[in-house]
Amino acid sequence: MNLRPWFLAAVLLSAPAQGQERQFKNGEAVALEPGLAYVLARTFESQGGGLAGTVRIVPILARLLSEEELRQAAALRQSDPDRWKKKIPPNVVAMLAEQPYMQAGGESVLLTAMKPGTYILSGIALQSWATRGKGEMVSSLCMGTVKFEAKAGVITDLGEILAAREDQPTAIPELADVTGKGVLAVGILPYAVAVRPANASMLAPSALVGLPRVPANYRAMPAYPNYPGTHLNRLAPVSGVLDYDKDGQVVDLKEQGPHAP
Amino acid sequence: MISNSNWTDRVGLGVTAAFLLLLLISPASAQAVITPLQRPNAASIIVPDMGSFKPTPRDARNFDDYFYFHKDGVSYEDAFADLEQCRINAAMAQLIPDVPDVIPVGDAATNNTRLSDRTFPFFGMVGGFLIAGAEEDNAILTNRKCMAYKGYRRYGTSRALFKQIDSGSDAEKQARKALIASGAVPAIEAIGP
Repeated sequence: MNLRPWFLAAVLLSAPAQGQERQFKNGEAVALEPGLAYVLARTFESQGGGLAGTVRIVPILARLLSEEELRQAAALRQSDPDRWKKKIPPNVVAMLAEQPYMQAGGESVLLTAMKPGTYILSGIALQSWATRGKGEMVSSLCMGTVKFEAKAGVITDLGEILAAREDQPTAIPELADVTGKGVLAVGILPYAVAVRPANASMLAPSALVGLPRVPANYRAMPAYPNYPGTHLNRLAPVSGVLDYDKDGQVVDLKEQGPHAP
Repeated sequence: MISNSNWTDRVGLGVTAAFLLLLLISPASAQAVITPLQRPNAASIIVPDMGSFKPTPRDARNFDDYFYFHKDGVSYEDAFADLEQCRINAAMAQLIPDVPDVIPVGDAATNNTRLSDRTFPFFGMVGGFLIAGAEEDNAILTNRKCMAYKGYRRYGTSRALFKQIDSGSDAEKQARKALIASGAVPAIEAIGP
């Protein structure tokens, strides 16, 4: 039996298509390709509402488009308002929590290969038995979030992506002030989101030891329109990186220096 | 209105499943650019007298339907810009959003496809009406959350006063709300965000 076609099909199906990501699973061997960027993140299981049961957090990243890409997008939008988003290359990367690289207890370590560039943490989705595909996007951080460079040939460590239902109190210190209050939403539950930048105490797969890995150099990202359309939100303040003034404007603490409020 | 977690817990998953089914059987609609509102000259806008309002118990029961925003020290221009940003975010809100393929930060804001834009062969007009109502509630709540992030407080009013605020063109309505938001401090207590 000639196995060559099957082998080729397997290789093609597992390789990242242009503009799309590839998720690494179950501790598989990783050889960094020079043309791809890699991101590592840790998320935690939590209890969803109703019959959803255990839900897993899916970090949603979006690559910032170049001016040329924006021009092309605008031209397509004008020529084909119904389908323009299907015609431009995707720039959204979903780190699928149901395909972890490593798991320990309720913690999942996610590893994804993607196109290099400047990315924002644009929100989170939830995966559970009741969801399909990449899950339901439950939080859009369009009122303020962080951005980072994902360089080719390097694993950029995003640290821990934390999330909690807005309607219930949480033990996550970064989210304690914004949860357990009234929920301004209809339908699916909104989630509050925080980032804990990478540090040496965080769970790291031994299979990745020896590979180039750098902590994400987070910078503040100002508000933008709620393109995803899901629950409007903003990332919890990140020490030394991101805060908000009394008018809700994003404060870039790195630009202001270490003595900024 | 504020939906509490019990309501969401009971209904959320069923609504999600029903809507996902509807998504599969109904066609999408165009994603048009949201036209920005041009700020009118403040002198051309007539604002009702909000200061004499004395809420009755009936008024208070309807504060989630009839309300306005205020922030100390904000200018008319800034209040209009804040209302505009939140109006656009509210217009983009969806009930059951999937993870998008594209988030075009830097591009114009466009309407996302709403479920009520689709046809519903099984649920007909009643289903479409209920979905449109839920989407309208979702847009209002999105707007409230957006304005709360920007430091505005929310105040209830009567139906009659709200009708005066909410009259004229979209730009006139928004200008009137901006003038009230940047005007005299309300004599009544603020309500929840």
